[in-house]
Amino acid sequence: MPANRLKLLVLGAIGVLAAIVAALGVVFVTMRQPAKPAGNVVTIEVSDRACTPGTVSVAAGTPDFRIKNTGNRAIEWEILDGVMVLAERENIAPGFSVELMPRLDPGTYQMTCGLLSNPHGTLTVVAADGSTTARPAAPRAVDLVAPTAAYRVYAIQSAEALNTAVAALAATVKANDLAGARAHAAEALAAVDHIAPVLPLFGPEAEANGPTDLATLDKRLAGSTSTDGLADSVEAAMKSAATLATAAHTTTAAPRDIIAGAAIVVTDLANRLGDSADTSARIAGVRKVVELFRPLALRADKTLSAKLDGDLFAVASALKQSPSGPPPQLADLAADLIDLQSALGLTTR
Amino acid sequence: MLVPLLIMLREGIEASLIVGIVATYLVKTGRHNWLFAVWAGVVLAVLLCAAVGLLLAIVNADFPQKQQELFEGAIGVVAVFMLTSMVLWMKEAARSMKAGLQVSIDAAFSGVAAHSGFALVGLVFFAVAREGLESMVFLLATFEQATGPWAAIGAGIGLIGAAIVGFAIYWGGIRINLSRFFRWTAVFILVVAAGLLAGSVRAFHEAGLWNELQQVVFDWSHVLPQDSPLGSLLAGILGYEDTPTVSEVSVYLAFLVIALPIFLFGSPLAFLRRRTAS
Repeated sequence: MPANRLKLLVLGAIGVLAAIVAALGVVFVTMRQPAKPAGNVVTIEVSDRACTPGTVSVAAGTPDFRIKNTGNRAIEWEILDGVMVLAERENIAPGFSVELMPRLDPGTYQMTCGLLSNPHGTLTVVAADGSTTARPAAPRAVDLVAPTAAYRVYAIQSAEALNTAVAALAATVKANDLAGARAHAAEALAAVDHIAPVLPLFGPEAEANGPTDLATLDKRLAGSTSTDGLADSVEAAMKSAATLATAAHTTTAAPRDIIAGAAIVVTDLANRLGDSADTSARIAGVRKVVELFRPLALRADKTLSAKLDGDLFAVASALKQSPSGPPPQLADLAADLIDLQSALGLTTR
Repeated sequence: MLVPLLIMLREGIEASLIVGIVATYLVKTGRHNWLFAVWAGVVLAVLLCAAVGLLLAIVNADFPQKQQELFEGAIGVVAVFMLTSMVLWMKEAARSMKAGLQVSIDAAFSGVAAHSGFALVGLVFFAVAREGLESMVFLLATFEQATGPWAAIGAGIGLIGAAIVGFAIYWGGIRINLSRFFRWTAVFILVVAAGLLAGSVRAFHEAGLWNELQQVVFDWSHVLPQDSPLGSLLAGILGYEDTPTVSEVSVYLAFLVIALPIFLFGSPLAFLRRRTAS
């Protein structure tokens, strides 16, 4: 049961709040500025039967709706996208008007006009560039969950593949099977290249050691005539592969980081081409990113999505012809990946 | 004048109903001294809503309708849960005590008194807060926009009417004898809870979260409009809706179909246990 001291405390809080409310009331009555005339005002009168005007076109952004109830009944006013309520005001009494400033993306919506049985009005939101075609919004956070989770799985699988390859590599080195060791080293390198976009997120150790250890080992394998004396390199590679796998399990890359990482990988390749196997594996990793985000890209910007697919195809065919320098299409791919980031609303602040 | 009155009556009843039920329950279970806390919860919620409402009006901010709906829906679900467990607990207590003996009630409730008391007062606070902000915005509009004093007077009368409903429930509740109180009030509370649950489904829809099963089951907006006097009263107390959707009606019926038999005949498990024991 509330003790007396608690009672006093509560009474005190009530007193303070009451004083605040009184002060705010005074401010409200005396110092309130009249509603500022915004540029984008849309006035709609709703009677018992319909909205006037019944068809409204506004610019995208936050139009300023003034809804006036000219009928005799209490109404609510809603902007609908199908059955989904985008914005609404309730309890609009006859003769009253309410204001609402919802954020609206280009497209065609319906608005309720008084009673449910009244015909709905049409609200068209026009894009800034003047186009009336509905350009859907950037994906919501919930839409990004699926590709992010899928990429996490991909990263873990790649790290596991790396571990398997390195273990096999160790076995072949022990058995003095040079050809086998070279094959497994290539597999291991490819696995790391696949997740190059997110490697920086796996911590400085994983980022620096994983690829370096493997590259060293790969070079030594290429230059050796036997597997003798490679034990220490193998040891180091196994260790960094294990670190990388742990990091892959404990890290969930944000969608923004995944796409930005892919763009950086491509930019690096455009500036200096690695050996062709390395480049192909890295591009395969980038392709995975594009594939996972394709459903969202298609919704946000169809043209861009098609361009990305085209870039990937062009880069792949250019690489096939074993070029001497980096294929120029890499620069396009990098630029389009950056565009994808902003199309999905993932621009870094 | 009539429409502002009815709007405030409905919003007010939605809050005063829960306050009345909780107050009755506390008194009936021998916790008179908690009534101060109930009043404090009501007053604090009203003041808080008034402060936020005024602040929004002063800075000309857009009313956060979606967040309000989300809040309404969430509090509705919590209220349904608490009212239901209150009812089921009352039933258990009624079974274990000799009818009408206040002493045994005090004994039965002394163990749970403290923490359930705080939870119930919390419910009162949030039930008032959930209706309060929107009501405050509406009240400010009546002062700003109305051409005469009648809208404000109507809104005031509506609020007083809502308070009277809350008090009526309280006075009625504490007068009924104990066994009847447990049985019939409980059924009434369950029906109220079903309405609250359906209202929460609607609130979640208006918050943009729930968009399935939105077909309208029947349109009574011409037969018994929600903004008519009777419609407002029914909306406030039982969660009446003149154009309910499939999801609202299903949730309403499902709740009653599950909760009422459990209350009247005991949970299926307990029923089986009793059967095998005898």
